[in-house]
Amino acid sequence: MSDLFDLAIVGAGPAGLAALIAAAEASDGRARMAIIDSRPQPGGQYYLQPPPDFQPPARESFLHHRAEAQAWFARASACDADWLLDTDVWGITRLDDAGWQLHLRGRDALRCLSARGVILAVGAYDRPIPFPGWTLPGVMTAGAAQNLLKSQGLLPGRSIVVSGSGPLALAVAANMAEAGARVAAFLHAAPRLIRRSLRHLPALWGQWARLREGHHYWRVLRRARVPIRLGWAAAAAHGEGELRAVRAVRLGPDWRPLPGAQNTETFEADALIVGYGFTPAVQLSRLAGCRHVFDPRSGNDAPAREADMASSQPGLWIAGDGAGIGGAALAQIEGQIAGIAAMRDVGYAQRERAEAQIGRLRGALRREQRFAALLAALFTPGPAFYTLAQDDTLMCRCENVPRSALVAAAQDGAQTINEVKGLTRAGMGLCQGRMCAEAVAQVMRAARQSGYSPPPAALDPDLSPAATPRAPLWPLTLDELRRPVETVEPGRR
Amino acid sequence: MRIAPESPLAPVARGGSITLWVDGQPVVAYAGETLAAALLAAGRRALYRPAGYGEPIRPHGVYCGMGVCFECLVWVEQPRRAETDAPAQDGAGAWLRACVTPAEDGMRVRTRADLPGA
Repeated sequence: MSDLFDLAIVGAGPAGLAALIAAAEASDGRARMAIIDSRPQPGGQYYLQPPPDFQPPARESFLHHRAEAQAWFARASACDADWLLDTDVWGITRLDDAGWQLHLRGRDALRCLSARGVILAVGAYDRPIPFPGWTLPGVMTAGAAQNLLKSQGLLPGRSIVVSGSGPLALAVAANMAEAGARVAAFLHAAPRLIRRSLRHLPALWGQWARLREGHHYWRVLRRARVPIRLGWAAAAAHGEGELRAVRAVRLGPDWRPLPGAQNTETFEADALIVGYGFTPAVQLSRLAGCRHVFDPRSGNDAPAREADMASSQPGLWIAGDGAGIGGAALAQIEGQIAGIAAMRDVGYAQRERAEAQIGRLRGALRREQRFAALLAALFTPGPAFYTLAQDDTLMCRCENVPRSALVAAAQDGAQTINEVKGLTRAGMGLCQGRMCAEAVAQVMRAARQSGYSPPPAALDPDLSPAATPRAPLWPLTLDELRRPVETVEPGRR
Repeated sequence: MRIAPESPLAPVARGGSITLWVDGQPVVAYAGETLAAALLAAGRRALYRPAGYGEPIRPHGVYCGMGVCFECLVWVEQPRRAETDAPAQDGAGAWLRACVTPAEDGMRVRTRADLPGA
């Protein structure tokens, strides 16, 4: 078939751009490729830049990674590929012979595109963890706050509490201070961090650039005299209609919020930024039927992959944070491997040469994987952290489902996330469970442990944090659906 | 709050000045800003009131900031594209995610923060 792309890449962030460049090189520019991203500009969250109407900050910073981003954009735009920006992928279906069809929603029309191979490089989003008051305007994720700052030059408030765990939380707290906000408190939740870090010193060896970046942020916070609380987290957001104050709580070694006045402190703030790590966006890979595995160390559900980033489905590779959280550097290596492997399998790259190229990336891959494992070990919230949510805390933000309704469903015998969804509507709203699935799974796991909802042996023993995905993965309007669907073919743009 | 020009992270220049109409009130913003940025800078943080069970349903605002959570939906009169099929309030328009929708000069925007039911 002539209208088939050789390769379609979903996502133009670090993994997707690296995959595109590697595939173009591996095929000597012969492969017909398409790259799709929901944003109007490439780069994903990591290389997010100010809009074309803005003149960006004159100085290079850890916030924009501008020089690095521009270099990637230049290499990627030199590749022969059809760019479909401002385009969501709302479905994926297997073609009868070989390959995949992607269902797209562009700015003005629905489109579809068929490709012999697909690389999913869809990234991740902030891991949502419910706590009382987390739906108040003024409470936002670390990713939201950093995006607003990076691309819009905007602070979410004047007096800001940052509560989180891991590098992004530290970076965002420092970013806010550097940008001129009063950081009322930086709460770093991971308990016993220093003691546990010592055990992982070998994985830190060689990560000098990252350690330098972290040191820079720490110095910014110290210089701004930001109150820093290690082993503390935001337990509740207070305010009438908008955020006014944040109640912080000290955590025990297993992340359990500790009772008592001595373990509580209140900070006045008009913005609260929360960031406890990331959740891979597995909606497309699940919809494609890829096998997924729950990883208790990172608390995430992720697609199972071969060493060359192949998923359990033929002709489908997965690279970057969408396959497990590892950050931009790991995503770029995975993207390269996936790009080369895809070209090898669709027949544009000679097998031995492709294997040799992949082999040369193994060392760097392993080093970044070790670092990712370190981050997961140090910063992943323990199950006890989910006890921040109270009976009336909304667990499903879209459908306003309180924790008590989920517990009642579990007590009534619901044993899977799908059953809880059917009984309570949790996960049925516009975000399609992206915001609540993990919290619902935690409630179910707690119910199983307490014995009133024992797991049937045949069912997923780990209780993967996702209901069965359904297309469309993004809301579509009936008006869009009634219009003809355009087919995108190579070279037609 | 737009960051002050003296910050090392501040953009050297924003786009030209534009005017939006938010719940009937003029809001001055800059070309290149998203609706979320324009609304937050104007101090309007309560944006959307999700429909669902459980009550009272209070307004939510920008939460994920990257188009995933759909809690910053605002009603935009005759926009380029719609996010959901929720019924129109006045004439043609659509619900759009403020965090991923560019603000345009003269755009007419309705939030649901002022609807009864809180």
